[in-house]
Amino acid sequence: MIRFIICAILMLLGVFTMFSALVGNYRFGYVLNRMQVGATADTLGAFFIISGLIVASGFNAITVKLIIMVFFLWFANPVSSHFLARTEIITNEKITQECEVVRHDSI
Amino acid sequence: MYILLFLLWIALNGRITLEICIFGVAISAFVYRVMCKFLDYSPKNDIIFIRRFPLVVEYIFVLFVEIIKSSIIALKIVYSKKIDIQPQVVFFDVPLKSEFMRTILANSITLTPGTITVDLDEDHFCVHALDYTMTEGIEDSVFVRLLMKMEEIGND
Repeated sequence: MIRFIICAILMLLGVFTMFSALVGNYRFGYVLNRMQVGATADTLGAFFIISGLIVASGFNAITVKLIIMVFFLWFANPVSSHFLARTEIITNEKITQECEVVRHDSI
Repeated sequence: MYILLFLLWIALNGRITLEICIFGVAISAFVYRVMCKFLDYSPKNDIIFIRRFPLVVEYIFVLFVEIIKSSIIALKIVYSKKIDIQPQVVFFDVPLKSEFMRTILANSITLTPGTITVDLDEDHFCVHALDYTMTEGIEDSVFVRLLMKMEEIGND
């Protein structure tokens, strides 16, 4: 019973995070800001849902597989967001209108 | 690494029998040999990795805490009545030498909600942040310090 409650709380948190990302996607205007919020869903939302599943299944081989899944998601997600962001920055000529550009070095 | 591969094999099989163990030993030996040949793995690097292991655990823990902290900030921004943010693109240098460490740092920055690594060229980083407060002290954050310590262990 306690396990069910913990599992439900974790899954609800995950669904809430995903939903917030959806709301954020509609509230922000600019593509990079939208992506930031989308990345939140990928990292935290997926983590909460998978940890909920881990609690639900109990400790066995499936647990290990799910942990491997979390790691895989956390490795794959930055790569995709990085490439989208990079394409946007390179192709957008009016980048300074959307966000302030700060340089901390001497390129 | 060999042991990790073997454990992965066992985990994916889901149960431990003699047959699976024998196959696992053979297959992980083969995979490890391929990795040594093409991916720069070697028993020497593995020993360095084992010496770095406490730091790796600490790093994962810190990363986790950071992800949760900045997610809460990002969610607050999403649900605030009027969105009042100043997105920012920051360029900065990081004194990390090995390419692997720099990639790890770039991935952790992207993984943390609110910041995305846009470009990584030699040791120049280019990071986009949702709000300007998120980039404060990004040059010498906890991540950078931990990675520097890891590099020191590997070099001596």
